[in-house]
Amino acid sequence: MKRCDKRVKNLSKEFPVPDSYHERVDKLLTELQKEEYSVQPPGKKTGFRVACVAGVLCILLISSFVFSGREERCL
Amino acid sequence: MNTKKFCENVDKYKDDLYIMALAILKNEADAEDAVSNAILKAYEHADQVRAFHKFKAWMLTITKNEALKIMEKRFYLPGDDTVEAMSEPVLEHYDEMWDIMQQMKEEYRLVVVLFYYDNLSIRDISEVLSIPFGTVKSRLSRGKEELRKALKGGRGYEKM
Repeated sequence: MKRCDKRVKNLSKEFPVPDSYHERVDKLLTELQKEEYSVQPPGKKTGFRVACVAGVLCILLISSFVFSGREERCL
Repeated sequence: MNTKKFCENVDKYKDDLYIMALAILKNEADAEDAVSNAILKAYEHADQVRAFHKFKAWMLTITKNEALKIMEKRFYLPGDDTVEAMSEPVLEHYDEMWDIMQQMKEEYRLVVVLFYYDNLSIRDISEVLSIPFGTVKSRLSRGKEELRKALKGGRGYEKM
């Protein structure tokens, strides 16, 4: 089986990928690079985390106001 | 990942993507379309790539999905003569090994192509095709067996 594997691997390297395909992909990649707008780095996640922290802080702040109000009323 | 890095990676794996699409569609023009669509789609979502070593598997998965979309279109275009013509294998560039692969059942063919032509590991194949590890292993083993028989039997192999 190993000999067969080797033979298939060698034969698979000779697969003729057409030049028209290479030209098409090269053209597409050149166009993408020309656009010069870099793909967004994974910034969305950081934004989401910041929003979560801000939300929690807001809740804490509001609840502290609510509780301090109650304490005053009790006194 | 910036555009330059993205383009470099696509350029590195472009042949693998084409072979994968061709294994599904059996048509060179359709395979080219599938890869072009996949590149554009991947570019839009390039921020989703977490690790560079997973780029190839990720691109192959997108290409597979795009190829399947094109394949679906073939079935859902009623009364169009071109649809039948499209479903016929069109290969201008003949390759004996590929000819043998074309005679295999699709489930074996894809696994064998990804293993031999795209040099993917069994784990990566299972990820790309979204099938369990054990299934890939058994399909690969059966596919290899068929290949071995075909190579032994020469070109007259019609059994697959």
